[in-house]
Amino acid sequence: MRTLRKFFMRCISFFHKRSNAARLREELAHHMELATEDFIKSGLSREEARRQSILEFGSLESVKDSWRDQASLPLLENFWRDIRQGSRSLRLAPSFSSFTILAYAIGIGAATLTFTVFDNVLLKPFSFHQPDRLLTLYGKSIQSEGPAMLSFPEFRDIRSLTEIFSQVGAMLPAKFDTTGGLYPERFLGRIVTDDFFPSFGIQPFLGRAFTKNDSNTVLLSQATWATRFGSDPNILGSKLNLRWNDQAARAYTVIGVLPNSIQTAFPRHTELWAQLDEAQPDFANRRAGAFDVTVRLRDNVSLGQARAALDSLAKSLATQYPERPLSSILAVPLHDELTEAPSKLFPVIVAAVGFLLALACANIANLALARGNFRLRELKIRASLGASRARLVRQLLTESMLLACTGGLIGVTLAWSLLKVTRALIPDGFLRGDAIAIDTRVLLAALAITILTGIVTGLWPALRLSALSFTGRPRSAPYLVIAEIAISLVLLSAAALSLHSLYRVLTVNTGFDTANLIAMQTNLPRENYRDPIRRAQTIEQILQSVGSISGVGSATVSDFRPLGSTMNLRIQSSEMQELAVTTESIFGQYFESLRVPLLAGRGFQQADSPDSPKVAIISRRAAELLWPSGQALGKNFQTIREKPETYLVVGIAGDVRRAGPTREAKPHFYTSTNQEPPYLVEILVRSRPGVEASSLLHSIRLAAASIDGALGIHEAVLLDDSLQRLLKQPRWIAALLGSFGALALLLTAIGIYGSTSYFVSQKRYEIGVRMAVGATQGQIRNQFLYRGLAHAFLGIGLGTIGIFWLGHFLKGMLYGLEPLDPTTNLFAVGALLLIALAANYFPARQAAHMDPSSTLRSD
Amino acid sequence: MKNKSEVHQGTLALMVLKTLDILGPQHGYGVSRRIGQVSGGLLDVNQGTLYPVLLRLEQEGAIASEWGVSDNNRRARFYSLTRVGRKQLLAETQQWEQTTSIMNRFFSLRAEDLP
Repeated sequence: MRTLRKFFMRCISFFHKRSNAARLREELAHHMELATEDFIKSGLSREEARRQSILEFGSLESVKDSWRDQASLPLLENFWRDIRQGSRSLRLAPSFSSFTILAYAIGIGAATLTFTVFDNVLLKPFSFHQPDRLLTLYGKSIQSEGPAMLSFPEFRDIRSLTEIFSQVGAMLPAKFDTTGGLYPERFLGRIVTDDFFPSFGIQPFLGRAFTKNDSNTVLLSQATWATRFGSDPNILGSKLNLRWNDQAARAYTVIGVLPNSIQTAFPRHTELWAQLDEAQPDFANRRAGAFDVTVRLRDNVSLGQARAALDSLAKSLATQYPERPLSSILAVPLHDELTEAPSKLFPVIVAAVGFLLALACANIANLALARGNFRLRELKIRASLGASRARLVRQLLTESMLLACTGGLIGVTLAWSLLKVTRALIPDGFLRGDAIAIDTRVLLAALAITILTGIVTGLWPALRLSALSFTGRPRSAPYLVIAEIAISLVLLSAAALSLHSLYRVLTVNTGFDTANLIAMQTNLPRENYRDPIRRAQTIEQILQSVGSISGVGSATVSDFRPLGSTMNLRIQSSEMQELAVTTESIFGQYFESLRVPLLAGRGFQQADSPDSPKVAIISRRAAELLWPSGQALGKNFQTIREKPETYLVVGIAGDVRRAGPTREAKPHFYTSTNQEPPYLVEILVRSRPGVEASSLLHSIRLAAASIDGALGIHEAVLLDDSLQRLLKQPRWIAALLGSFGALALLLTAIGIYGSTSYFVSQKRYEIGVRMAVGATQGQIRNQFLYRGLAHAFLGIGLGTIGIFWLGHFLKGMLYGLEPLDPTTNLFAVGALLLIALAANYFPARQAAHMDPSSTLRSD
Repeated sequence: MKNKSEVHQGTLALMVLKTLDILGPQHGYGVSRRIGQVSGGLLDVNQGTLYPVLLRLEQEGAIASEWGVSDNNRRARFYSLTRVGRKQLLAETQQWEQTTSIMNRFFSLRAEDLP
């Protein structure tokens, strides 16, 4: 009660500060007067009486101070006073203030931008219903290393674990081709079970979801509804004639449109959703693993319990069905599954931004100390006038908070202005990356970072300086500069490595030429093309008619396009050498068209027919691995599969990085479509120079349709675009780490310059003396230069430890480069030394040009 | 450091209350002179420290203040004990006496007195 009253009174008097101060002044004056009179009465002179009364009273200033502290809200009052005083003193030191604000802006801005990206793509929960209860399930096969898709019967077995999972949904990628139009068009679709959308808690925003009794119904994605149907509000109930997977075309009824939020769950663009018909005989095959299975944990079931249940299920399935070698069923939280790509990069980027922030803090503390030593005189005066140490610390802290907040504001603004660029640079695997924004979470984080850095960078100098204000002489602290150099080296090394790695990726020979090359797919429907001769003839026809279109430079055919998916299998050479390889079947002028060199032997010929012995062309790497001793031409190899096939090597081609420049070329072999004509045909067309490859698409569609109306041209992609997409991640890493490195260099330069300048000014008396006794300018300059370089070497030594540590994180992110690559790291060291030299040189030269007579007189 | 001054301030506050209780309304100098006289100069207190204590007591409602005219015909701030202050004085006097009697007992304790 008493405390409350006191607070209330204080609040009132806070607004009556002036009249309160006047009251105290009057009271004290009255006190002095009476005291003086009393002393006079006791026989002292007026002057002596006045002196005695002042002595008896004590320090007037400290009484006023503590009275003021008592009178109103001292915290608030002092805060305002400190802010006013702080901003005044900061205005008086514009270069110090602007460098400090710059350092804060860099550190806080980089941290904010990084947090924005990772909060949006990684940390934030997905917008599904209770996203943390959702799991993705995979099979694990005894035969292969990676995860295996589950089959439909396995999905059913999992669904029967009703005490563990409340919902179990399965999804199968499916391509739907329209029929009945001028030429077939394709929808990239998914076939899902009834439980699928309910398990995510997603409802169509138009129409309804699937029900158990539906047949031949589809849902559209919002994007498809907009682009293909012009957002037609009357879309519900309309029919689409679609053919899926060689089944006869059926009429599907559109029953709803799904919101875009579903797209965040599935990286690959899905245009259409159809309902899974559980009775379909295709799905009865236990060995046909093709399903993505998503489950929702019951509320009282833990992940561990679910894993145990799945383990025992897998065990019983393995004994029951020995022909399906399923060793276990893995459960991965859906969040982890969907954020796999950013979570891999997260540690290294966070480490880097942490280093940058630490560097900025060291820089700021260093500048504050250097400046504080200059204003030690001011602080000493304040201390001797009765300011307590706490008061001085508070004032210095207020100043640093003022700078931190200004820097933070600029940093957040910078981060905000870079959002658009960041969105464009974000790699494909980062779901939600195109929607990153600065929201309340980010702002709160930025505020926390600002306050933290303000306190961290302000407190130490404040404590040190306030201590010095009472006792002692200032000494220079080189540890901060050494720490700065060490941190900077780590960041520079990361930057140099990522840039070097990007350079390697950009300049690596992929083994083929993507310029003006467009890939597209056509499907030879199974029911009409069972005859391999017919398939081979049709493929040849397509090639001929596409090749005759004006603007087409060359056209060729394969069954797996480069930069797309691959066909993996194992082969065995005649010398029993076993090898994991990729393969494809090609036709026409493939090597000429893709500009892959044929190194030895011959290409495929018309004579290589279905009846003649199977021939193959192998890549150089395959040749080296299969026949290490030499000659591969004329040798045989065998595929290891149920029905093994033997091939005669007739040619050796150059290596192709089929998975893009960031992956090594795998051993590969080509077969002839003439001998093994595929159903799925990838047409690769290179346009003539000056002709836009995509402009040929319409003519190619018509050409294919004129051969057979059922042949559609789908998934047309410029291979240059595919290549750029693959390069996005190394580009992004290099952009991020590269700019961190550049900022680190800038901060370090400022830090070194500031601290050496301060050191020089501190030593000006000594310089004066040395010059007076005959030291040359060169000697003076070198004295400071050597000192700076010694610090630089110390910092570099420490930083080297950091490089080893960071290298561990960087390992998986570099292409064709080890994290400890000597050339790149030496380059970073060299750049840092150069900057250190330059930043030391100018203050050192200044020292050498001092006028000894004036420096000796000044102190 | 802080604790010591607070104890000191508390004692000083009690002295202020007692002084006002005996003398009635007084200005700041009067209170300080009285305390000085009673302590016989043994108390080494700067007179200035009195004013923050007066202000605190006033904020707590133990004393009230108003402008009045002093002996030398000058305007002065006069402090007087309130009802709250009188109660506080009583309570604190008792507490003080209790403390001192306990302390006295401790100081007069001899080894042979212990059971």
